[in-house]
Amino acid sequence: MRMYDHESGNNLLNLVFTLMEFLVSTILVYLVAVSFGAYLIEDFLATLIFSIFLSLISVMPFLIMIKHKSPIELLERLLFRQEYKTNIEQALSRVSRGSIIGAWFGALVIPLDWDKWWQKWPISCIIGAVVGILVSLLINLIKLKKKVKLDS
Amino acid sequence: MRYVSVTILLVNIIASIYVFSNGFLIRRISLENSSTRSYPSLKKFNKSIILFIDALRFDFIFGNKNGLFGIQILEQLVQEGEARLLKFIADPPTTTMQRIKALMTGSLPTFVDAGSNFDSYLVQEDNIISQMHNHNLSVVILGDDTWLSLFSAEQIHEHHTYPSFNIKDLDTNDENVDREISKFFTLKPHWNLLIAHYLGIDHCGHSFGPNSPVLKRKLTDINNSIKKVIDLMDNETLLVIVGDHGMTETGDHGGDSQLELETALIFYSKKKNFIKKSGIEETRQINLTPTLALLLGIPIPFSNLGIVIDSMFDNRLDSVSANYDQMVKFIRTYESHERLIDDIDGLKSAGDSEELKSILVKIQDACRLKWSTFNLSFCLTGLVNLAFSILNLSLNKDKNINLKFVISFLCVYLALSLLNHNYQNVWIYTIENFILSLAFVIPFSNSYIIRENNSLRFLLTTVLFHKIYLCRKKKDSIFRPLACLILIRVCHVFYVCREELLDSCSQSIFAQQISKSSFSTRVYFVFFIFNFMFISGVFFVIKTKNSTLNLFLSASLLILGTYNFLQILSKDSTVIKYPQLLLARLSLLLFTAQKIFAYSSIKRISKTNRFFFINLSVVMFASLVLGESLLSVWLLALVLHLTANDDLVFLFLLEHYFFYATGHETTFTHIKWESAFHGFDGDNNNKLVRVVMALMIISNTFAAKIVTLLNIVKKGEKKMSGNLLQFFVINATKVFFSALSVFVLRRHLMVWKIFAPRFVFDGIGLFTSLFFSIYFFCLN
Repeated sequence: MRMYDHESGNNLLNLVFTLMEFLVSTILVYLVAVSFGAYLIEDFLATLIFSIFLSLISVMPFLIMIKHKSPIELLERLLFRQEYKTNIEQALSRVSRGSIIGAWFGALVIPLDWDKWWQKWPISCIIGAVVGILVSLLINLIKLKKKVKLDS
Repeated sequence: MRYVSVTILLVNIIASIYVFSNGFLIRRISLENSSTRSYPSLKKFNKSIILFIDALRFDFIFGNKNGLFGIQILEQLVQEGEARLLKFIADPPTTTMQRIKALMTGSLPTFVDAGSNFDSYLVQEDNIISQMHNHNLSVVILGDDTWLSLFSAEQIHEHHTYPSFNIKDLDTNDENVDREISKFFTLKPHWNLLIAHYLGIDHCGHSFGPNSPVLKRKLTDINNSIKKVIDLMDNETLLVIVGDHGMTETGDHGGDSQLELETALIFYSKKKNFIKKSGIEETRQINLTPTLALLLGIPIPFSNLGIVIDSMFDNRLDSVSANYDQMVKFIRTYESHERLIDDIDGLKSAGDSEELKSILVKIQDACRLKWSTFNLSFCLTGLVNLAFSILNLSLNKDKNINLKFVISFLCVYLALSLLNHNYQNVWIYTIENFILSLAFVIPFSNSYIIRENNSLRFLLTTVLFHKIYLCRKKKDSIFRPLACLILIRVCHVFYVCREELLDSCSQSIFAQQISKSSFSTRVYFVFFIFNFMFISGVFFVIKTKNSTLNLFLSASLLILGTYNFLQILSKDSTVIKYPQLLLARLSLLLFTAQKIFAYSSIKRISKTNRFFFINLSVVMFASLVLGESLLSVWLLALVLHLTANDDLVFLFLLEHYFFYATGHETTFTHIKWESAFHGFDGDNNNKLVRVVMALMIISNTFAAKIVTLLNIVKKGEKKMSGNLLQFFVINATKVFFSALSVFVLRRHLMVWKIFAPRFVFDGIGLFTSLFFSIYFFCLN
């Protein structure tokens, strides 16, 4: 991966690299979706929309909000080691985990034979992800309030 | 002491499954004899039309207060005494396929009609269609395509059938039938039995329920169809309008509630003085079979248990005694296979027609009692006993048997552990147990069972991503879980298509059966090369320094390879059948020889040699029996090699998933019967040969299970017995949930098609895993 410091570069380069990171993360999410059972090619557009959506809400905020040298290091630190430097980092990773778990639960309704429009891939997953985000935002709010209380 | 208690519990588990299935799965032997004696003096009609109206509940005939029900033309005919209406009582299960079977054979179809052929749903027993065919009378079938899966197309003169699966489509089938049926009165009137199957009302029930205005529309449609048929038919034709079952207040059927059982039977003919009686009688559905057979002048089907509706005949005594002769003949033949009626000598022929009829009623009731009622006390005893044995076994003092399975049992574990203060640690177990609970819940939904392969892959992938997460956290290499992930995803090429998914699913070339598929020989050469690579790979892995052994090994593998090669070639010719048979037998013989040699002379041969022999025999047997599933079993072995041997939840999911990924499905039509015929001819009556053939089929069907068990035994030498037992407990829990699901859903529409077969497969799978666990345990 590139070794590039967001702090020192110019804005245009920043933008280009962030977009590239976003592209890579979209491809990764696409592959993850495929490994869970989405078609590799047949339903390309639906899977693509889903992966763009999920990487927009679960990866993009990190890339924009947090200064980092390499995205891999960022992923490692926030996702696996769960070492948060600021409150924002913690809140963001909570939202991103919430969206992933929500999308997972959304997938559970796809096989059922209820013939509802929202059961079609990827609609239920996207709805699940949105619900996940809302729930984690709520948790964030509560935790933040607690912290404010503790601080004051 | 521990062994004793474990043994008792194991026996208890098996016994309770046996008790449960005795109460739930009603069995019957289907005889293939056919009647020959016909009674021309009773014949009244040359031609007959059966309007088969799916889900025609009895009260649909007459208008009700809401004005929703009512079929005008029938109401009118019945009130004028032109047509004869009978309340028609069906026998459970009230599903269309079982009802058609009952009406045509006059028998009481059960879930397992044990016959010589499981390969298809084709009716094996003597029936009206085959009798018509035997007497050169032509049969025309219009409508639901279920008929074609039950009766072979050769026996049917002409058919125009349409799929019945889409319950949203109320009209296509009925409109097509209406269009076709008029042609048979004008353009091509040369038929003797015309069956028109209307699906609209049934579909309307499933989609909208019986109290919707849509039903009114469908009843009006049916009314018009009947009117048209009555206008077109001539004086020498008998019109029979039958419903196969009713529907509940929600529009479903399958169970045995009154609304589902009561349907209507109407006789109508323009012949003078045909209808002699008015007033509504009750009659059993199967009673139509002998009546129709006698009216049309064909023999009564051999296995018929229906009692002729004698008021339809001029000579009542003749009709009843014809019925009596047939039924007693059937009972006597059946008794030579299985006991049916206690007092068989009491069936002496009596003079009076009423007396004869009472004997027939006695026989029918005895058979019905045996063949059509669930034994709920057996079911409950089995279930409760099973639950207790599993709980007991998992609470056994042995530390290896973990409490967590008991609790994940009820899915409550998730909630419990969330309340636990030690948040982080419990979470790890919780995810796996949560997934396990989900896997246990699958049999409660038919959609999940139909797509169980994909559902399990989804769960497995989740577990693997969790593993990747854990590995990264500990900064381990993620190679193993990642490789498993890819291997498992790739295995979807081995899936076979269930009947329910045929329009959205296509089988890849890897899942095609070698003997049945129509692909070019090139594909088989690819398969052959894979097989050859596999065998030679094994050769290099287990090669020894002993040159005699190596010679022996290469000879065995050569024979096996040649056999596989011949199998591919023999698709188009029968010339090489004999050498093929010989080679297969030779390899079976070698397999047995190796087994005996490896185990009988444990002390005399070295450990490496013994290992070598065991492996070789496994490989030989596998490549002989597995056929096209060999490749996926090979992939399973690879995945197993990459996983820890005490990761039992994962192993369980893996074994469960690879049942599907080795090209199997939990339906009887997908059992790979041809795996039994390696080295044996089709018709072999030798008992020992039959046992070997059954073993070969079981090894093919549960290959994934056996390989997984072998893996547990091979790796976990220290904790092996504990692991085996724990693995068995998880499997038994799975069977418990399957049994619970069929018990709870015994009124479900799909119980005989989807839920019950799955339970049967799970049950047999458990027996298999017990057998092989003990076998492997004893070997070590």
